[in-house]
Amino acid sequence: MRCPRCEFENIPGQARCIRCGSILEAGSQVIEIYPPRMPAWRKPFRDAIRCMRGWRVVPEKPPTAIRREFDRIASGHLAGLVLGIVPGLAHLLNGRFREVRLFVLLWFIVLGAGLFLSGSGTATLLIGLAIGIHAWIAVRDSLFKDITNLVERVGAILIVLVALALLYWITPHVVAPGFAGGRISTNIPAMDIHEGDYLLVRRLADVDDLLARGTLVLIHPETLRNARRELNVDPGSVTIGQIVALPGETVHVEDGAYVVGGRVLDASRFPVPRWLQGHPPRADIFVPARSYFVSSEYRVAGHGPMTVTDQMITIICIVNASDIRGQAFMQWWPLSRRRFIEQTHG
Amino acid sequence: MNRPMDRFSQLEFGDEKTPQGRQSRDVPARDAEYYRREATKYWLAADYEVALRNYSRVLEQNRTSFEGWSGQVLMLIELGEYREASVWADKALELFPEHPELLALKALACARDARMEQAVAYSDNSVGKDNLTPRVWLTRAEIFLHRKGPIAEGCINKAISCAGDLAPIVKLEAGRLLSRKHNYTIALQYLRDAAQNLPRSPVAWYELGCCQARLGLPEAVHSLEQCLSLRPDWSEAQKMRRKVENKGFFRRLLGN
Repeated sequence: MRCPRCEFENIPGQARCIRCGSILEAGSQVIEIYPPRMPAWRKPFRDAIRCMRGWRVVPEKPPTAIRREFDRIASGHLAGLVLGIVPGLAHLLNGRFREVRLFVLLWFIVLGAGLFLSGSGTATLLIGLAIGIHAWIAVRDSLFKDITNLVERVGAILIVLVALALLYWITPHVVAPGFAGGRISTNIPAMDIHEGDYLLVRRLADVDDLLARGTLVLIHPETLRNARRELNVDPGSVTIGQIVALPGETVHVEDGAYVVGGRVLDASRFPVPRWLQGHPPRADIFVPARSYFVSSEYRVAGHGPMTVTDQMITIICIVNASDIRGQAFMQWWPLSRRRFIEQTHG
Repeated sequence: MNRPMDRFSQLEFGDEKTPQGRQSRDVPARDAEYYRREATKYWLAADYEVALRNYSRVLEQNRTSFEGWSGQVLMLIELGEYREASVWADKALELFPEHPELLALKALACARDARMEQAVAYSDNSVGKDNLTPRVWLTRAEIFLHRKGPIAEGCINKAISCAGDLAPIVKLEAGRLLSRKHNYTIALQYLRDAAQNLPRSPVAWYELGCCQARLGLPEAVHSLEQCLSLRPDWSEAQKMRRKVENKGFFRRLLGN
């Protein structure tokens, strides 16, 4: 059997040439002859990295000690799972990103769609799906190398799934602590806001700043919890309310409209909630300093019939400035009415 | 081995009998050698995609063809796919262990990918082997030129001296290399020789034209026209000619 490279005559059956080590019988084994190709979209990224490498911005390769240490750490399951917090990171660092690139892309799309539709039921479904894909990517890198038993695999996925769900719940609070969201329980026809709309809320820069009449605010849940304790108000039903009266003003309800400081407010802009229309205050309610009269469809007397007194209205509707979590700035859901909310003045 | 269609070759359809062997006289045999020639032709025409495909066909015919493997790696480098070229050079090195040309190609891929440490290591390794090919010295020259070392020209001379019949191609490669590293005056000599010896190669004329244009020589227009007469659809050459003739977009826009 003649070697194609050095032409040395080898013993038949020999896989490699004795003299030069070349493979002798190509037909006996499958040899891939079509080279790998680079996708066109990758070219600009590679060019950029090459330029940076040429200018010594990034090293040609990480120092050996660091690389060895990384390999040692990354070989453990726990490290794999920790790296799995960012989908595909463990694979990328191990040079195996290609294996999960479609999953990562899918995760990205699903999560993006979920965030875009946040506030709707579909969003919950999509974010759940994103968590599932994320868990799959994380488990695939670390645990699936060793775990082959189906039950153990399912168990591993479930554990990771729960951990990631927790992570997804915590992340928005850490990444964007100044933002929140909530549903409004009142119809405000003049602002084209309807009951059940999901609004985005931004934390107030300074609680001492005077808010304008008509501003939609998210009330701290603790305030409502206190009210519940005393007056049986359901805190789960209330999130966003509307500022009707400012500090120092007096409020009462007349003919289905608020009267603030003797001036009748437009009912389409400042609607009176149903529970207050049924039990209007008998006397003017005074708004103390650093407080607002916040109107909302509070579910008063959720457990059985009870009489709404002026004192109860004061406890429920007069909200201290420090109990206001934030100001609604965007109508997020439904999609057809998505827009920034114009800030009202006076 | 019989080809799949051979068993139908003896069938008779009516009275029309084509004289046997006529087709084989008109069409050259499509063997590995044919595809290798085609690949070289397209390489010298700067159509690297087609050249790569032809080198793959060489390997379809003969999987142990060294020219096929090295040609594929070289075409990947020409196409700017350096990582793929590096991977493929490794693959070829499994078949041809320690082959100096493959090591040199791997060094070239690393050097073009700005991984100079690895490039130097592979180049050192390739130079230490027997039966050195021009590619080994050309790669060495490229690395030295990158480091602005003075011995690059010595490497190029060595490459030409061991090239034999391939001297025009090696000169062309040397000219391209020097031109890429902005050594236009020296590059011009090699490229002139290359264009004289490879008059059917669009690349030789294109590179010569570019080099002449850089030096401000009026012959650049003639060289680029020669190139476009050989390959009229080459957009880069068309662009270069427009630039040389001062007929670029902005020139026309400004009315100069």
